[in-house]
Amino acid sequence: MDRETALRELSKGTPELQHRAARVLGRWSDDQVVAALIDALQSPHRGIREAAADTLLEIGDARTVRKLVPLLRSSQPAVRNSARLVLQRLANAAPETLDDLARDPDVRMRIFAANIMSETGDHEFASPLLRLLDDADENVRDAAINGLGLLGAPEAIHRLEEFSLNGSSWIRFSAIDALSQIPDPDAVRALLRLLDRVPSELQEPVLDALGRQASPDAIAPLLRMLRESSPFRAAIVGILVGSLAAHVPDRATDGERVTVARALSRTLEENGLNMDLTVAALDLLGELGVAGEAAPVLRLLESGEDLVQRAAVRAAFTLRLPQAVPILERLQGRCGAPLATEIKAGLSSMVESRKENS
Amino acid sequence: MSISGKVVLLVDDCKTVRRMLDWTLKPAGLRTLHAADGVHALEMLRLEEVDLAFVDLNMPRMDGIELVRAIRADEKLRRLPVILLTTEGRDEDRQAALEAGANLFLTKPYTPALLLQKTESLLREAERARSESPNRPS
Repeated sequence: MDRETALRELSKGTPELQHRAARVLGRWSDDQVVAALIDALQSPHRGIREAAADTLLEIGDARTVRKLVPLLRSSQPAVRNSARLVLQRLANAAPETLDDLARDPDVRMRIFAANIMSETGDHEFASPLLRLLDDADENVRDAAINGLGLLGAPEAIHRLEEFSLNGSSWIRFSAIDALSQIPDPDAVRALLRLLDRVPSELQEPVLDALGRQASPDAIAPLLRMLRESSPFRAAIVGILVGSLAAHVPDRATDGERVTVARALSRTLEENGLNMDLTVAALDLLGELGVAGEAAPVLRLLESGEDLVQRAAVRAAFTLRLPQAVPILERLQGRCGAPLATEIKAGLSSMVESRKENS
Repeated sequence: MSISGKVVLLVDDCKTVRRMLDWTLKPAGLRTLHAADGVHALEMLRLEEVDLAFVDLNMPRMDGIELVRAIRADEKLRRLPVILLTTEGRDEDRQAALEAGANLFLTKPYTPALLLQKTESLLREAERARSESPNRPS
């Protein structure tokens, strides 16, 4: 297909020919071709829009960016989205165009500017996003907050902490969530400060954010909350057995081990965790070595969930629970070969260890 | 009628928004599923039992209005209550969303209390409609 035929088919051909023409036109990149491809982004057919978008990405220059911006004002969401997707991939070709968009009198354009800058993943856009934090419109500020989180911008931490403490619950939630995405110890410290400063309804989002940060520095404050009987015990346990599990045994003192084991035990007894976290909680309970908090281990030896049962078997052997022996012997007779072998080996090891101790 | 245990699909390309909706709906005992765009949402709706969907307007691959049209055109899904969410308050979007078959069109910012109230009332309405026509497929 030559250039003229492709241009003609793109505007007047069948959907199949339009799709093909949109791809073929990538061989040329003059103004007429770019304009025709931008028209094709407004097609009612998703396949044609996607083909035109792919070709525009290949051409990918500042001229394309400038010509795409007006499509963000389209009355069709599909057209706006096509333009947005191409713009976020080409933003670096014309950052000044996005800067202009961020100053547009139309709030919706400023939201688009913030969203496009965020999706580039390019830290260069952190400065304009920081400026948008002072926008008069709450939705623009919210989009900028989200963007600074997505870019992992450490220079935004102080402002995000402020936003977490003031304004609507929506904005505060966004700011807390943004802090969870910034890979910087200061972001963790900000979240730890927020634990004591946000109202109770926002404490769980702060805990979730700390869980996503997965910083061992959060362990001590979380253990303090457990000692103080926090109403968020299940959420704290979820974090301790999830992203922080590997660090808990090393970071907890003997006294804290008992606190954690007690919290794990109570949460397991209430079935307050999903299956993956139940398995992780049983493993951590075993590793903490607090045999006095092992009641759920005994109960879960009879679990119908294979993974949970196996984790309970592991914990029972790690904790060397004598009261688990009759249950394990019964289980050995009716479970599958791999678990039966594991139980047999574990029981022998317990017998050996008892002999040595006596 | 309790809405606890009902399943809500959250369709938004922004994870923060999905987490915010999660946080809003959890106290009512609702279970949530997540999808990042309309195409993913349709796949999930065909695999899972869902009682209500929150759908963002602007998403890649398939936007919210296209998704609502696809839901209403599907015999098994067409009675699913759908709340369309957006930061843009364009009248033409609102009209297109409602014409496509969205039950509600909400413009940000909205409070968690409002979202929960709308969710509860749509779930109750859907339950009533089901109990009044027990032979109709849900």
